[in-house]
Parts: sequence; structure tokens; C-alpha cells
Amino acid sequence: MMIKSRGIHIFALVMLLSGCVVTSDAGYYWGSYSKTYYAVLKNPTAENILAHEDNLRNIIKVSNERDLKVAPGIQAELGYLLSKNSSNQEAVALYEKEAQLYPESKIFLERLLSDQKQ
Amino acid sequence: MIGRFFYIILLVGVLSGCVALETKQTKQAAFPSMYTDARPSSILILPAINKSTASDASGYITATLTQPFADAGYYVFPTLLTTDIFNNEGILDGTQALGIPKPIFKKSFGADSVLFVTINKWDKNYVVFAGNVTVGISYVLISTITEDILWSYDQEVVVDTSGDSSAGLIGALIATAISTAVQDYIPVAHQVNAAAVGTMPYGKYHPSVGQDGAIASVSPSAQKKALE
Repeated sequence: MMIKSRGIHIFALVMLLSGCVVTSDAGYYWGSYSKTYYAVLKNPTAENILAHEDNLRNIIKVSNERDLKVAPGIQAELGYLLSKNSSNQEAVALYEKEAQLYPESKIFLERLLSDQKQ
Repeated sequence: MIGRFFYIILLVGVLSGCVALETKQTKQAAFPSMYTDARPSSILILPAINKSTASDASGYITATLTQPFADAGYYVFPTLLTTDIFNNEGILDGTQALGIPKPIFKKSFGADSVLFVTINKWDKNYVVFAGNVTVGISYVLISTITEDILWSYDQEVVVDTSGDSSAGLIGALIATAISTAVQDYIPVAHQVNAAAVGTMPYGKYHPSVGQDGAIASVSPSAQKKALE
């Protein structure tokens, strides 16, 4: 019992020292998603869009590192922003990942893809 | 002894202006269809309807909506994409989508449900060193298969915006001194959305899906008010 409780303390300490990634109930990591998204909504400058893209990339990176499921929409959103800059190959790969992770998005993303090809 | 304890709780509740008179309903009793096959797995959020006097309210709400609904276990279509698509179709806010038959959203997006969000109130009050904002939002989730209302809630919160205490004393003074435009309302928007979504039954991606029916968190009047 003593050892077990010490184990929990050590675990808590490690979490704290490792910069403890905050995840939600469903186990998602969101980083500062709403902050950079709001900046894009308020003022869609190239700089703000790039900051949001970086944020989305970071969310995907941290989620993968921690073995977390990437939150709904994140990969599709990054793909969409990249497709506007004609990084189509990367966009398609991201759409495919989103559809694989969340089959609910398949119809939507396939349609988006066919629209973009035209 | 226990009696006195309850009395104190009641008194505190009354003094804090909290509406303790209404009995909260369980999620299952309030939203029974969400515990059947009718529970959607995906949500398409329509552009917010802004009835408040603050033009910047829509941005704050849009930027913070996806997270709580996704955390509650639903697939939420990325609003950054869907807003562009709606805008291209001439739908600038949810009002223009009210008359559209809901199965169309099932066909074109594959969405099981659509969420209408109305910002009723976004009132900033400033007195030299203190300030607060009253935010009132209503949410209505409609099935794209049956067109039934699956979940509805009206949420109002008052948030103290007098400086940022985490920034220390000087930071707080500066924060209170600068203009309303600089105030960061993202935490406010998070707070109001989270309070409302707390009454929503969990979806398939939540670890406790189907097991939250007994949680009594739903105010029947707030459920009804959202539909007015």
C-alpha cells in the first residue's frame, strides 16, 4: 500500500515535470486551438493563418507523441488551409487520415476533394 | 446538526443569487432520444446567429464551439471549412438555414445532426476598475434524419472581467486600465459553452457514453427557453 501510494506521487511528479499535457475527457489535446482560430476569424492575414497552421501541426505532433487520438476536425482543417496554398498532396493525405480516424467525415471530405480537383 | 448544515447551504444559495428553486432533471429524462439509436454521431455547426449588440461575439463563440462538443464525444465538422462552404452558398448566419429541410445536411455533409447557436446577449459593463460581461447563448441540436429536436439549452453567465489576477497586481491594474477592445473573451466563451454542453448526453467517442443518463444537470426552463 505504501509503495503504491508513493508510486502515484512519483507519477504525479513526473507528469508535472514533463510539462503535463492537458487533455479532455474524451482524451484530446487541443493546444491553444481557439486562440489562433479566433485570430484568423478576426483578421485573416497570412501571418495569422500561418500561426494557426503551426498550431494545428503542433496539436497533431503532440497527440501522436502521446499516443492520443487527434481531435475531430484538426487534420481536415490543416489539410484545407494547405490546399489553399496548393499543397494538395499533403492536404489529400490529411483528409485521408481524418476520414480513417472518423468515418463520419468521409462523405464530406470526399466531396470537398472532388470539388477541389475541378 | 445536519438540518442546520442544509439550512446554511440553502441560505448561501439564496444569498448568492443562485436559482435553487428549480429541480434539475436528469439527462435521460430531459433528452430521452439521445439514449436511443437516434443519438447522432456527428454534429454540423451552422454559422452563429448574433442577436447581441457586440459584433465580435460571433468570432469568440465560433472559435470555442468545436472543442466542448467534440470533448462530449461527437464528431464535429471543422467549422473553419464548413463556414466557407456555407458562405459560398449564401448562408452567412444560421437564420438563412432555418428553412432548409434538414435531410439536405445529411445528404451533402453526411451529418447526423445540425446545431443552431444564437447569441442573445453579450453585454459588457465597465466601471472604472471593475467590469463584467453577461453572455446569453441558446443551442438547439436537430436530427437530420427525423428533424426532431435532440437537445436544446439556454445558457447565461456573468463573468467578471476586472483585470487578470494571474498577471499579478501590476498586470491586473494595466489590464483594467486598458480599453474594452483588448479584453480576451475566449475564456468567457469557453465558460458559457462548457456550462451548456455539461447538460448534453455523451456521444460515441466519450468513454462514458450511455452511462450519464442519471446525471441531474438539466434545468427544464433552460431546455425550454432555447426553443422560444
